[in-house]
Amino acid sequence: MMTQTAWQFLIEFAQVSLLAFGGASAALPEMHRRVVEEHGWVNDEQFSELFGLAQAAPGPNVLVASLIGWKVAQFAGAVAGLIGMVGPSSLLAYAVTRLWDRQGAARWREWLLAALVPITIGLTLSSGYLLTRGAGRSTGGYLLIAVTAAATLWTRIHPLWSIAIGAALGYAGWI
Amino acid sequence: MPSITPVQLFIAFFQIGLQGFGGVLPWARRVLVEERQWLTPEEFLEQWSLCQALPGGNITNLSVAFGLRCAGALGAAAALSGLVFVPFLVFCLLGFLYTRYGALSQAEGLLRGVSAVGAGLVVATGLRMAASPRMRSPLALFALAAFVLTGLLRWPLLLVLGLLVPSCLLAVRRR
Repeated sequence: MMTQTAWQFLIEFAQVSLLAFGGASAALPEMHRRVVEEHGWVNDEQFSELFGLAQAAPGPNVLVASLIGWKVAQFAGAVAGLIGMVGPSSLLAYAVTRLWDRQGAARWREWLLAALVPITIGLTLSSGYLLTRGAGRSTGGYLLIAVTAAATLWTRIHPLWSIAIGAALGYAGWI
Repeated sequence: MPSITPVQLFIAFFQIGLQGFGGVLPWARRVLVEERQWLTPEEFLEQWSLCQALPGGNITNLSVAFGLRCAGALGAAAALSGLVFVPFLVFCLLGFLYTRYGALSQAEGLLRGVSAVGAGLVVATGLRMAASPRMRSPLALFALAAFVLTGLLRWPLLLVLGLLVPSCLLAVRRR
């Protein structure tokens, strides 16, 4: 049975899905705006925690919608997140692939991609800012964010190791 | 495009979803290009860039486009459901655990650590993208605008894209 909240959740994420140029990280500011600011389904802290968990799990990052969905409306919410976030964009990908193969519009694609890249970069930076706002609640938290970013940029450490180290530090009460 | 059955597609993308810790792209490449040799590196790059130009998860889009080309609508459905099958169950389990135990004090510390690392990873991704050679001066302004409008001013994404995508398309075309 889908609850009313789950339906609402599905409708919100179906819209996010079609706006999610650049994938989950770029769509995060919009998810945050709807889920935290408009509906108040989760707060800032919970949003960052759920996104952190989603990064620790296998599979496509867009499934963070299912994780937030579970928090909002249990199993029905998780299903709503999956269908809402993956459904519309997949139908669009289906339609575009068919058109594409018919016309072979390589130049057009190159042009569109060149225009979307800078916007996607700005959106991803914006996601980093919002997650930092939710996750950095102490000096230790801000320090860990900075060290993780630096280590990711300048060493070849696997993200899973970073997450495991962060979890251990947090468990020990240092963050 | 090689002739591949929906069952083979389901299994291949099941494998990609299962292994995709910390980013699915390297796994997708490994399975489709190196192990199965269904695509050449150039074909993979081409499919990937098309999927990046579309909204939604890049890897979910790739599964739909690739499945469609190999085995029609059934192929697209098989590849997509193979991809999300295990991750969805994992996300449900995480959602259950989070809702049930997330407020316990040890779990709370652990989540603080995980969310700080998650934020750091996204910050690093954004900065690394911003350092790309595609970001020459006029285009960097669009990245900055996207960051300010969605991150600091919290404008709806639809409005931001409606403003920035057409103007960025013009800017790219004029160069």
